Amino acid sequence: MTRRLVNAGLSIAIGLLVLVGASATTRADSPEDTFDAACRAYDQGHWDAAADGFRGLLRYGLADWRLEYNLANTEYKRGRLGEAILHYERARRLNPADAEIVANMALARAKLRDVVEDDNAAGVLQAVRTAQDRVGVSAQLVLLLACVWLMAAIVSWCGSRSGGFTPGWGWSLAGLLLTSFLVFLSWRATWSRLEGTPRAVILKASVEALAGPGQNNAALFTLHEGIAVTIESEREGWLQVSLPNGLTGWVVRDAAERI
Amino acid sequence: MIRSLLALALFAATPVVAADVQVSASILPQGRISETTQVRLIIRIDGSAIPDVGTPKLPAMKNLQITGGPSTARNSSYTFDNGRIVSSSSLSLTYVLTPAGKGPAEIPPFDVIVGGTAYRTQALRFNVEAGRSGPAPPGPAPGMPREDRGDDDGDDASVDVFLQAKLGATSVYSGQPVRLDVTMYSAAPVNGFTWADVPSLPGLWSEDLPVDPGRDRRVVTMNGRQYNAYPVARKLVVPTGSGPLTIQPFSAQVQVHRPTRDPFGAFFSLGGYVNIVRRTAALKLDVKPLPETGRPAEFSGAVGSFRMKATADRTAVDLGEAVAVKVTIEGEGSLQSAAAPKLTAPPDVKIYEPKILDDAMTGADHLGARKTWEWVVVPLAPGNVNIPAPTFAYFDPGTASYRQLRGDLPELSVRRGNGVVDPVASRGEVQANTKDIAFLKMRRGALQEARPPLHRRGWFLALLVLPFLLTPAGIAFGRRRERFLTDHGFARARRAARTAAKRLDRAAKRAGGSPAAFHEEVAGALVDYVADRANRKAAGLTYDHLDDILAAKGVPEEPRRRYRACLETCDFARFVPDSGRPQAVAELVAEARTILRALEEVA
Repeated sequence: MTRRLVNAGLSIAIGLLVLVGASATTRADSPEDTFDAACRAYDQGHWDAAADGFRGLLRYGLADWRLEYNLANTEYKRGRLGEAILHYERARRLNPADAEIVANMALARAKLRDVVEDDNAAGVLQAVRTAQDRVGVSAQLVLLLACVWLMAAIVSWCGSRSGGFTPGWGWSLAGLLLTSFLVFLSWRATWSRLEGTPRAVILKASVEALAGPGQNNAALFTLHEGIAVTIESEREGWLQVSLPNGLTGWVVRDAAERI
Repeated sequence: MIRSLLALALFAATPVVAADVQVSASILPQGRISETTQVRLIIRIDGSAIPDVGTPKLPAMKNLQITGGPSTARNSSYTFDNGRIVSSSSLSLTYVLTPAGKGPAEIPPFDVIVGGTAYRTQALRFNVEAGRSGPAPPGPAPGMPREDRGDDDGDDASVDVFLQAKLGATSVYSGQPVRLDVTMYSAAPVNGFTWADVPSLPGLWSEDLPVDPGRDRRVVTMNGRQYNAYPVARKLVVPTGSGPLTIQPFSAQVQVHRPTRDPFGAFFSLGGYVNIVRRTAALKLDVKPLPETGRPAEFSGAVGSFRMKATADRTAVDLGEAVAVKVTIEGEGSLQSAAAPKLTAPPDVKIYEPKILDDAMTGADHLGARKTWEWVVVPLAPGNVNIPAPTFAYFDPGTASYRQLRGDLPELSVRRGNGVVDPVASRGEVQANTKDIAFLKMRRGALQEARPPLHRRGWFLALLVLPFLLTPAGIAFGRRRERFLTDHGFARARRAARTAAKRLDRAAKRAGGSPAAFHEEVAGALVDYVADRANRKAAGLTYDHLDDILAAKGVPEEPRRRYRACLETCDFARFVPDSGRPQAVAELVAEARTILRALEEVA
């Protein structure tokens, strides 16, 4: 009897230890640890393990550009160009200023079967876009907020003084107003460029773009893995997509994934 | 008729007379003047003795330019008049002028300084007719002497010499070469030839081609007359743009032998030489632009018809040794603006910038061209190397289309040799052998969770809206603060109730001590309150003054009455200390507070 009691006590103690150990293990496998482990797997050439690690982190609800970039690199090494471009696109959306994202994505695109002219701006417009990406969407909003607060302070200060608005304060206010307007336009343009248009990447090796949302429609053209398309509309398991060259067609929803 | 029209021109100026010095200006010839006539301006000074004469400063002349002079000629003569010897002298200054074109010409008045005195000439005007730029019309030979000619000086139209410019084609493509020939045709013996005006050729790249007028002279018959044709200029011109072009006239001064009218002199070929000016007609050249459609990327401006030859000086080399690759483009047309053919370097091969070995015009008419480029090619790895064929694009005016040439090169066999790449031969900018994706991004700090964008977060929107709400409050606060600082009466009035309340609190604390001090504090609180509200001094305010002030502020009768009663109670108690009961102290303070609240609400 006593032995049974002892055994039962030992079992409970071991169970508790296992539970404690399990919780300790859970703490050790934080997202950061998993990320580092996936990086080590990539470094050793274990692409599948690295991809599993990075992809598992996405289930934590993370939206980190480094995670998307590393997953894209891993998929590229695995030869899955569609997944690679999808995650490069997501990484670029989160951090548009990083040159390596752009370079890697260009390298991946160079291997695609479909060649479609990208929307590459030139000259001043390209310089403006680069500057916008470097500053970032959030920083532009913070700048706008600072301008609004500064304008409010100037209006309050000048409005409460018996002298009212001096020319100097008036010009400062006008300058801030103009700056705010330009910053707002810049933010709006940046946001629209990066987030405004819904896009998707084809993940299937090839998919027919049909004239309508149904298999009984004519096949207009064929899209291959990795090509990024603009989503024009959705309908019952179908996406209406368009290409920069003006082609438009319907593809099954499973063939593409939203960026 | 023509001569009578020409008589409209004024040929001589009226002499200017001062003492015995006379100054006159005139031009020669006095007959027909064409744009190829050399005009002589003669300034003549006559007098018994001619002092120092300064060189005249000729004014800007209309349709004339100075091409020579001044040359001087002095003449003296002596005559006997009634036994006296009378001397006379003359000095002539002669300028050579050339008309710029047909139309009216004018020499404005100008001053001639003789012995320190200025003598002014009169204006000289005449008309310049169009010169002949072609052969003489059929009829008697113009070089022959004519009896009806009254002038004694060079009407050079009588000399049958003319210049002619000719283009090889009148309509070409931009970049297509065309030859321009200038030929002098002369029916008279020519002694000298000097260019007077060679026009610039805007819109054309030009190169002078060699000419030998003596060797290339030929005899031609035009309008029934025989001429010696001398090629005096030959150019290869290449249009650099498109559209109609005009080549302005060439003009030259020609010295020809002019036969004498004397039959004896004519028999012995006697006569003089005369300088004449001849001019070509302007030429038109229509230049068509090169078509945009079908233009290859490597097209660099070669227009014509060409062929390509590509060679390598060896086909087997040791690692690090250089191979010379030559490409020659040759054919009819211009290679003046042609860039080197495109030679793409395969992996593990270094190709240096080419140098031009040969750039020449070919063909009897110099309308051909040949250009040779040489590249130094250095293999950097052993094995067989295939250098992509060099390509060259040109525009063929014959078919009005672009064409592309390819020159295949032999395969190179690169031996390992001593395995050492010549560091100098392989010197160059570091280039990537292959491309791969950039490495992973390492983690610095925690990974970021998915969050809504900034403009969709509540705190951000609140911060964005808050300034619009705070601004009116800020303005109101600022204005009130400024009024407090600048308006003493306003500040007193606003502080009156608070000050009075504090004094009543202080009075309540003193209630246990001196009753007089307590009542004085209460009375002071009430009086000072009204004084502060009215911005008046408290000293000297009587009950009636206080009542008037309160009435003026619209305080009703009842509060005013209670206010006065309270004050009277305090004053009475101050002077009769034992009159108050202990519980009356608290009632008095409460009454004073009530009165102040009532006044605050009303006033």
